[in-house]
Amino acid sequence: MIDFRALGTGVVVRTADPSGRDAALAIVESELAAIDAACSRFRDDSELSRLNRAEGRSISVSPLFLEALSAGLRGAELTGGLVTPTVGVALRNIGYDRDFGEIGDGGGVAPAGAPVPAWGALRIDTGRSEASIISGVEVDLGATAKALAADRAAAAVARETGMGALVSVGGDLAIAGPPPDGGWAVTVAEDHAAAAGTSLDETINLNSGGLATSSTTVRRWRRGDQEMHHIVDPSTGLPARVHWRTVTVGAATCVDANIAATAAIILGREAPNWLGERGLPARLVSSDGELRRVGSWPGGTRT
Amino acid sequence: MQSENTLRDRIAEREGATRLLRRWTIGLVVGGTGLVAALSFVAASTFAGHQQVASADQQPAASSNPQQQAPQFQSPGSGFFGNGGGGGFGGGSGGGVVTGGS
Repeated sequence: MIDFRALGTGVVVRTADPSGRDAALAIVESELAAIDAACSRFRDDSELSRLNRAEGRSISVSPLFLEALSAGLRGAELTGGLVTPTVGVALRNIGYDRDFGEIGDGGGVAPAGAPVPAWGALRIDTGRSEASIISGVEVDLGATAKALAADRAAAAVARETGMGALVSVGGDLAIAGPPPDGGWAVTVAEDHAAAAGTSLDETINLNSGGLATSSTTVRRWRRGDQEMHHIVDPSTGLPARVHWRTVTVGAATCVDANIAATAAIILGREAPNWLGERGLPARLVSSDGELRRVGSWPGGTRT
Repeated sequence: MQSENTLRDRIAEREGATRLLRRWTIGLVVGGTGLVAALSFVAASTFAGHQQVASADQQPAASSNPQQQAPQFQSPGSGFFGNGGGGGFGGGSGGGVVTGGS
């Protein structure tokens, strides 16, 4: 199922014509390696780590990192700060300070939490290719970097092979080029890496754009007596209150889909209306297993 | 008598020369003023042009276009969902692709 691992998760690559598979894999691996070198919070040599260590100074950044920072700021603008790239310190405070596979369970004390700094703390100058972050604030691009990687990789495969392509990075998937007859079949599940399906799984077909799922049931760990997950509510600096187990959203790009899915988790019960107002098809599963379909999602009802 | 006529002729000649000189002077003054005014106008226009270019360069992108809207989500087009090749949902290609929590 999974072709290889990158960015701390499983990657799947498909081409409409199977003969393009090997070329596509090489292209995607190269794209994801570049995103990792620019955006990883867990690599000392990444551009993101260099920015977080700059203590308020402007630094020169690559076009790719600039694009990634722009995507992060786009998330903040689209959601009024619900999904913000200035969440780095909050993630460290709740214990997400290393690759997820290395996070232990049960250590430390439950974090107190504090509101996350506004996204205006991060400034980019596209003309000069520079970026700065207010001293003491740290950037994390977890909500957008994987999705950006999927968008870029799918576009690169379609451009360089001339074939339709689907690239999934940890279940955040992007489609580019002409789809196969009937579209790309995609199973929507609780966990993108789980082999066995559940009664709530369903399969849909997609022709274009991006699809992303945010979940509160994976990437969980304990701190003191509290259960943690990786989606932080910026108003508290703590994991968002769990109303939805998973939220899956479709959009024209995987970046926009992932921003909306993450915002929906934080919004809680207001999410279906919020998504419907923005014309985004979505599928939400509540913590007690209730299924909601929004907008043009197959079988959905317009809110 | 002859010397009186000669004197008048000389006075007339001198007055004629003076008038001519005055006309030339007035002509030069008027012409020069016009030239200066024209040159000043050209210079002022050119400077104003430079100022406009400089102002446009210095304007931040956001304020140079007061009509600019806040960003909006790019919703998928009407053809976003496929029909599964006639086999209902799940009939398309790409099996094994799963979206879910990660």
